[in-house]
Amino acid sequence: MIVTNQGQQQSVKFTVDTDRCCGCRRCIRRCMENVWQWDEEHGHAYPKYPDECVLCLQCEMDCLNNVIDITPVEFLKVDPLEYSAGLVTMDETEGGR
Amino acid sequence: MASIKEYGELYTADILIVGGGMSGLVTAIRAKENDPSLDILVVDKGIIGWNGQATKAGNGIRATSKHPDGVMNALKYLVHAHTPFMNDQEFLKRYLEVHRDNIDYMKHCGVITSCNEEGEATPLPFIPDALDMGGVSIHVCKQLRGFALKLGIRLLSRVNIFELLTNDKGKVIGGIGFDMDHGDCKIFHAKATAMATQGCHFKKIGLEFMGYGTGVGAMYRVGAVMRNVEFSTQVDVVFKKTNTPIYGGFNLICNQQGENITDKYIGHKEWEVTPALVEGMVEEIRKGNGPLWCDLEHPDEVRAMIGGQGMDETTQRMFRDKLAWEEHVFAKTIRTSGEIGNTPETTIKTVIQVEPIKVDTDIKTDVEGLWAPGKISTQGNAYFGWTRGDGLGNASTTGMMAGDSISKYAKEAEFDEINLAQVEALKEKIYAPLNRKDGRKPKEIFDMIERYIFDVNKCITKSAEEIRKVYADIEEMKGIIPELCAEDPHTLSKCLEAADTVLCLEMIFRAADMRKESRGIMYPHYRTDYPETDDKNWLKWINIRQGKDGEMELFTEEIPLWRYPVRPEGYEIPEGHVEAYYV
Repeated sequence: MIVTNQGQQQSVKFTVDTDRCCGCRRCIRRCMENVWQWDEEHGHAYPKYPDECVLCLQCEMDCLNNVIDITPVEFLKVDPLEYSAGLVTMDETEGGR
Repeated sequence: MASIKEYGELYTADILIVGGGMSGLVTAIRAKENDPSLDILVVDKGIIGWNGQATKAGNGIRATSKHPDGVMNALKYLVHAHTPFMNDQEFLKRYLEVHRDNIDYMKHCGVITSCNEEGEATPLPFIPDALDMGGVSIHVCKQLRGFALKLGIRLLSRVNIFELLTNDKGKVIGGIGFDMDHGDCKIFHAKATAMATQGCHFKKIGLEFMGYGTGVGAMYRVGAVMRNVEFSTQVDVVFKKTNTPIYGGFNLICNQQGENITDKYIGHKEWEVTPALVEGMVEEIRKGNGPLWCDLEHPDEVRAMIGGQGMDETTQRMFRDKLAWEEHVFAKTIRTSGEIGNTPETTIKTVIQVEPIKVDTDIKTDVEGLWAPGKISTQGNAYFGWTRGDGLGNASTTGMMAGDSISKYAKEAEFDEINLAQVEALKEKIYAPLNRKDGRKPKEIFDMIERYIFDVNKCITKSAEEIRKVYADIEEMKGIIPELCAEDPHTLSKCLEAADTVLCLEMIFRAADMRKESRGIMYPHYRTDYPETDDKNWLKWINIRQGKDGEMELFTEEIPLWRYPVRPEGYEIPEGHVEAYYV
């Protein structure tokens, strides 16, 4: 399963080998931002709310079967210095309003 | 007659602790050790033991030096270090006395630290005989959880509490919220309540751990007083590639001509990222002299000290298991974005955090039956009771203080009757977004707030003009709140968090508007239209509370420096007061 987080200053790609998820739910236990949920129907954990991810990667570290791979795609869409200097607006960015 | 069970599942306890992170667990443990007969319930929106900021915090834990003058040495340092003279020094002295036993108490609770074989932490070299430091395990909350369970403390995970219940005299008698998995309403009835819920952090950037202000909002609505909210902004210089801090690297920033920004705009080395430095960086970008870069090939003493190079294990910023986590994150970052190098491109990252609950020397708020341990009261208690890098020490020390006080209170207190009409009204308010079929999404509000984190002119260098613009945005956001809609417990939480984040944002800018001076080094309040510190008129706290009409009310309170040992140079005791030290 590949899930991409969109619309924040950082974008993140979650790659989860759900077939190998052993159901320990350590990712759910660890996440402070409630990113991970349990899929009852298919019997695996998955990042239901990826936009909340703060990139701590502790779910990845705790995963018993090592099936989670979180890759930062972009760390910062807008440079605060350029924004404050009036050289760029949020509206010009993908993640802006 | 209606029964409470018609509204939700009822839990009762002598002491209700909302928030199962480090401060909540220490409050519970300390209270239970003081009086094992007390029934104590800790509730958290996540899984207790694996959640809370302590499980992610990178730094060590401190304790006041056991040197005979340790308390006063630390007090003098802290009064000057961050936001000069805004501390409640009476609180700070009490805090530092308890803080002396902080690391020892953590060890007693089963927390693994990096103290030496004699059990001693290492003195911090830059503040002689004032503060000691040790590393602490990344599994600190799990270790505290185990200790709490052995004592018979009850833990309830995955329940999010959003409002507090009160009796007819305004005393807090419990809380109400819902289960994060199924959305079922949960009602709590207690003799005493501690809100260890963290403050409100505005972020949309990695590795900043969020509090969403729901604890602040709940306490504000029952009458708690907020203090020092205008000092809410911290800024770091970061690697632009990874958006992670360059600890202590802020004097090494250069423009494309090779000019050092600190030399050009300030003229002396800084020990924090100051508004002047940030203004200089923005100015260089405006002039087209960017991108800016950090000269790590030539580190100075500030980089050596704050960057933590060359520390041995007892003084290093992180304990070994924390280092393993940091290394994992760093390795992943490098794999994604390549090596950082010694001349990395740099920018800034702003953190806005509101931790404003005013508490007394027992961590008790102005509201009967309500305590506020942990980060949620760091601005309100003393600004700051903790030093930079000691969020963990603050969590445990304020937990010890709160635990001592709340256990005595709960032993004597009675259960007051729950007002069912209040429960019904609060439940309706909490669930309102879930009952709207169509509406706006909380992300709209968070995206608006995000702009402040990127705008130096609003969050670091404020002015009357910029504050007016923020007021207009706040009104727009307030207009969105009644239209927010949710489809599950997670998005319902987000709707409620968005509303309280707007409340916290308003507190910051209302207080910043009122304080017509500039003050502070870390978490500075800086007004471009009032750039000087004004000790003559502004040795005052700005307090905030909800007025009787429901509107936000601000009022000033003179800081009783005539009672305090550390005073500004040339301070004159105001008329009507006499010098009367509390120490």
